[in-house]
Amino acid sequence: MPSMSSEVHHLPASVTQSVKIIVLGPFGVGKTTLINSVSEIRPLSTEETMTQYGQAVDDLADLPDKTTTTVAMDFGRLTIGDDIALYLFGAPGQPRFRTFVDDLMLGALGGIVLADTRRIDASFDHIDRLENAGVPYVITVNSFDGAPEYSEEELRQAFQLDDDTPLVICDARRRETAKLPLISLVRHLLAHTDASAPRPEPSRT
Amino acid sequence: MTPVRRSRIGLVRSHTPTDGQARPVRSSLDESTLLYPDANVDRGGLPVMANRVMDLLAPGVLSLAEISAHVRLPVPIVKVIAADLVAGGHVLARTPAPPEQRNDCELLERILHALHEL
Repeated sequence: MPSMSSEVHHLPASVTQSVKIIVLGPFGVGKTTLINSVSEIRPLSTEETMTQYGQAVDDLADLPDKTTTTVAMDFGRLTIGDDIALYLFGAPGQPRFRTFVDDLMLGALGGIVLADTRRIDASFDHIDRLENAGVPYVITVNSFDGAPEYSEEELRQAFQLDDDTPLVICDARRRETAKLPLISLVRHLLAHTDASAPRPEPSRT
Repeated sequence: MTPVRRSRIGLVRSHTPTDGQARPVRSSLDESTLLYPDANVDRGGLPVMANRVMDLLAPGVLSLAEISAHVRLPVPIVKVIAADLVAGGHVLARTPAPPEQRNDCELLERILHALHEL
């Protein structure tokens, strides 16, 4: 039985709402690194049952040494003020987690798609899925040492982005830049609130 | 001048205390759902894992994903346990409502400010 006493960081009861942001991208693109750079707690991992095994709660309760799970996702947390808990979920990149990730997108405020300039096309699928799910997102190039550098114009063309979708370049290892895609995402959301959208006047002249 | 924005504060937002309990419990639970324990409800008869979750929650509030990580059970299973705890009144669940949050300027501004300060 794993110990769970020392590392549990509870939220104060004053927290009234959580916010979910998901980080997507191919395996090894730096999702957990980015989450680790921004999170106030050491990133936690959840497990997922292998699909062919029974998932009944009672069965698992009797199997403390169960061997039917695998790590599904890493996530981190950021408390804002004393009433908001922001969660960053790293969506597993492997295709077998597809359904899991589609579920994860539900209820997300927005998404961050991480990309590596050495394999830009590996991020296309993640963009499509956020697009289809109607979840607002920003594209973030994680600048790996030695990876080719491109101008923003070239990257926008490579990702086939419209002018409205933000593109950010960051170093996921450093908090000062790892937070940039988050800032960009929230700005993007602010620019698209109903309040800022021009509303037709109910004119009856 | 902020009268326009201030008027938004009066709207019903995602964190009204009934949110998460008003809807069918299971479908409203999410990885980022916050669970608030109610220590006053008798835990007699709770299944083992449900009791473990309540022990974990005793000091304060956690998200469903955090519970999943700490008790080392997959999220879908923790959702089922949590749904039963909600139904039994042992915990109150609050699930984010992104469509409302995306239009909550005050919330977004506060997140933005916090990120800049990070």
